[in-house]
Amino acid sequence: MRHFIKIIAFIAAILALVLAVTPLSNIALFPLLLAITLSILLYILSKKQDKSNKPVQYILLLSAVALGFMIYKSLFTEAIVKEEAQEEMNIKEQESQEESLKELEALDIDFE
Amino acid sequence: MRLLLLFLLVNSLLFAQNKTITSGEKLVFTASYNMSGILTDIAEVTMQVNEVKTSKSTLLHLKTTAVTYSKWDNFFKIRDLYESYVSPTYLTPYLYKRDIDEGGYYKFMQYNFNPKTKTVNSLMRKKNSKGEFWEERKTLTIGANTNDLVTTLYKLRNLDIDKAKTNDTSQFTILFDNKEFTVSVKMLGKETINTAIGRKECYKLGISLPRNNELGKNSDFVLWLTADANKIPVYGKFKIPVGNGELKIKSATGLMH
Repeated sequence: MRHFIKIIAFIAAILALVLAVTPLSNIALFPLLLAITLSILLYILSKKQDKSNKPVQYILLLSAVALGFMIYKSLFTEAIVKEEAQEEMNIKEQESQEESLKELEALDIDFE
Repeated sequence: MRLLLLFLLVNSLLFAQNKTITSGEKLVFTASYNMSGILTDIAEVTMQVNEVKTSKSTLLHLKTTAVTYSKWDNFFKIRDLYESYVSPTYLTPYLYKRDIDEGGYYKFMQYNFNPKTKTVNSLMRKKNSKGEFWEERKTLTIGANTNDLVTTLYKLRNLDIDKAKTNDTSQFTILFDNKEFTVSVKMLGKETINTAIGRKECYKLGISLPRNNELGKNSDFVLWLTADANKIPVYGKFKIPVGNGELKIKSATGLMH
């Protein structure tokens, strides 16, 4: 049982860390909470069975790093559109408008 | 009497004069998607109105773009352009274009409207698995009250919402992917909400799509329009089969009133 919880907790902590560095940093919260909960459970079991606490420390360390990334990203990462993306869109719009003007000239536009 | 009322209602929907939209208007929104209960900002949506002159006429160019924020660009790139060229007085559409590029999926639709004959010349361009483009042209006959998606969004703002009572409903027919479908817009009441452009009293509208629409069944939209002469869409909530999200205003400039 203790071994199983240890594996799941490690997987959750690593998943939280991976998600925390991607744009999906917000949803890293779920594996992070799971990792912390399981590490508490693991700590209690280790105490009862008089086993080493090392895995708990590693899981909490990974969780702390993930949490650090999450907090940093939520505080300092601004939702912005890259200049190149905006430029790409501007070109697309410009080209479309030029084409549209040709189409409009060919249409029979007679206002009400 | 009934006939007269019906005539007035149809007239107000078909020939409602533009009282809210002017050239130079620019609305910027943040689109967020709900991921397991947590909202994540995905893209910036911009709605812009400009005047365009041809040799014979002056039209309004209604343009809506969606571009993913930098953090999403490497994962799921969106470069969407929806535009419509309409008459400035009655917002009658003449040309509609939809050019979407979403995570590698490309689609182009163009409608050349002929309001006199109530026909539309449609052009669809798509990319096949080999990366080659293929085209399909069609001539469609549409109803007298049918508009494209972009024009409908702006026509919605020209409704006399101030005269509407709670639970009053209006119908709009939209041509989308060469198919006409009717959406119902229901007045849900008035609400005061906090937005990036201040605390605003708004009209809350519920928009329901038909069950067999392009976005799938169980699609639902709620839109908050400011209860003033500009009727700016400041907040929107959408529910589609693959999830739900929000559209929040960031800035509004160049307004008519």
